[in-house]
Amino acid sequence: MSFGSIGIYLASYFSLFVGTFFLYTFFENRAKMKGLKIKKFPKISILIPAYNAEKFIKKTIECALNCDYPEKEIIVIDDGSTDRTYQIVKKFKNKGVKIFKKENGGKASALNFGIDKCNGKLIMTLDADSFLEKDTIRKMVAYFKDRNVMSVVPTLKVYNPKTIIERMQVIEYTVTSFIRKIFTFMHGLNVNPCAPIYRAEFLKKNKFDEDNLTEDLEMGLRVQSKHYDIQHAIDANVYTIVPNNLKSLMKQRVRWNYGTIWNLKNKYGFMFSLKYGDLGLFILPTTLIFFGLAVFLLIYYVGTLLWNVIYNIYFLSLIGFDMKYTLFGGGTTQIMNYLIDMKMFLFLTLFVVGGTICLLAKRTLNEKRFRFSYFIYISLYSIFLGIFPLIAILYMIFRKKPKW
Amino acid sequence: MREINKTKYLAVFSIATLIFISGVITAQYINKIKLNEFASAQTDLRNYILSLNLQTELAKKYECRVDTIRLTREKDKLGSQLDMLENRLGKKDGDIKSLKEEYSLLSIRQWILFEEIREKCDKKIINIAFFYSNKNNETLCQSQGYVLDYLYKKYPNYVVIYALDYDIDDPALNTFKEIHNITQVPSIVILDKTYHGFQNKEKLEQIVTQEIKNIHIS
Repeated sequence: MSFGSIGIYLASYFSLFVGTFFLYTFFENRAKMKGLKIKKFPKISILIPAYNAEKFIKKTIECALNCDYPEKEIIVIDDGSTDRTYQIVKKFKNKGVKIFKKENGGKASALNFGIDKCNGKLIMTLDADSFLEKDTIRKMVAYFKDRNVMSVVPTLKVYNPKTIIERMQVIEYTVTSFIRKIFTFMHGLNVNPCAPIYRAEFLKKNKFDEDNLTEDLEMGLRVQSKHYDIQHAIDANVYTIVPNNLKSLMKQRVRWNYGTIWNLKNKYGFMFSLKYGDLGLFILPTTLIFFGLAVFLLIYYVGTLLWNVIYNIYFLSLIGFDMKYTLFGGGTTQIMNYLIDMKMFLFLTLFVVGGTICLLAKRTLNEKRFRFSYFIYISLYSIFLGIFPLIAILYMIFRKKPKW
Repeated sequence: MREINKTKYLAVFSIATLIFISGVITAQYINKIKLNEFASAQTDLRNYILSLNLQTELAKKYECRVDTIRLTREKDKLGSQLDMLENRLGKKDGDIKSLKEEYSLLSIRQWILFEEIREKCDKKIINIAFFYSNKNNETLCQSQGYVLDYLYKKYPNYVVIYALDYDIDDPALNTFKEIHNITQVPSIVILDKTYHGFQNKEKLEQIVTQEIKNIHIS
């Protein structure tokens, strides 16, 4: 058996194991997939760090103001914007929105600034390009009735998807939210993206790491390192602007992947640690192994494809590229043999397990925009899934840091 | 300290392993069905070789009435099927080796017949015997095969290619090699002249077009 075949079999078994683990946990906790009812309304401070956010900040603030949560304060921290962000936010002063301007120092620095200025019992850190629904906060706060819950994340949805890149992310965000909910049943959710709510007492003592590329992941790991829980309010929606082209998607995802690998490598010693339960033993190692497998499969398949392209070009050069009397040579046959052979097993495994998870995610999150025709995009997207960690690893090898 | 549900890990491991093993067994079963199909394809090929041999024998009697293009196409079809089978079962498969030997003998038989037809019946045929190997100079042999295939497709009414495995140890094939002084691969015999080593498209096309002109002049 060749090296590639062993890799394919290992990837198949690994995907099958992880998929089964998710599905098993889902069916075990099916009844708990619904939201909770709120009983208490502690004051909440909504911190919005904004840097050159003139395009969306108005809508972000309007949505926050429109929330039906009784006691809330909205604080915008202008992180040294050079556009009209400050002027736009100023217009909301008469509606009680507070605005502070500071020198540019990054998102984490803006949040730390805001933490010192707010006085709510709970703190929501809301991205400047993300829009709350009327009842989002109410549904999220309901989870704080459990004293061990230190933060709650909402379900993230793609705002107004138009391009192929945005539509691909509709599927990705739906599945990711579903899996995040499953992680909570294992006390293993470890990231606080986009619009999480924290207990203020925790954030006042634990400021964001300003040097970290993925401060939300670092904060998630910090919450977990103290054995607190992060909950996911599956019925609370936040709509967010996502990258609409390949370049910006690449930039964002390389940063995320770099941040994930860096934090898992350097922070808190979670990996394979039994004291963190499923998070240390299963969730975080799985994340890293998935990165490795995605990179391996990318190199393997793209390598094979490139080899066949070179092979065909070489043969065509022998006949002076006179395509009229020839079909593509052995390479094409090799690819076909390759695809219909035992590798089908891998695709079948991924298709069945992945398809089941997608279907359950679509139903559970009631995401009507998740069309199955989008699956065409998924095959494209799977290539990127290997490219992002590969570039992130290259950054690490060459000791460089991706930019924001 | 978080708790770990060992029973759950064990259950998931069992389910995943069960599905995986079922998958592998199913894949093997499908492979077995495919192999059975190949076995029947082998029988078909054997019958086809026998039939072509008979056709060649018959043609000897009525040389000038033989449709050489049809016979060439039939041989070509047989060659393609053999290639497909070789790709699936591997070059080292015993049945493949024996089928290739039979195919080589058929090719030599056709070569002799077509040479006779060319001389006696004034038919426009350019016989090209191509010796290749799967053991030595494989890339060069593949390249030569590709160029020859191109020539065959470009001049289908004139060119007939006989691809012969240099490594087959058969008395008839060895005699053929001796007559044409084939000592290395790739080697090509065109109209009784032997060319050693890789021959590029330009050179071969020049020979073929020149020969076509000669045929028309004569």
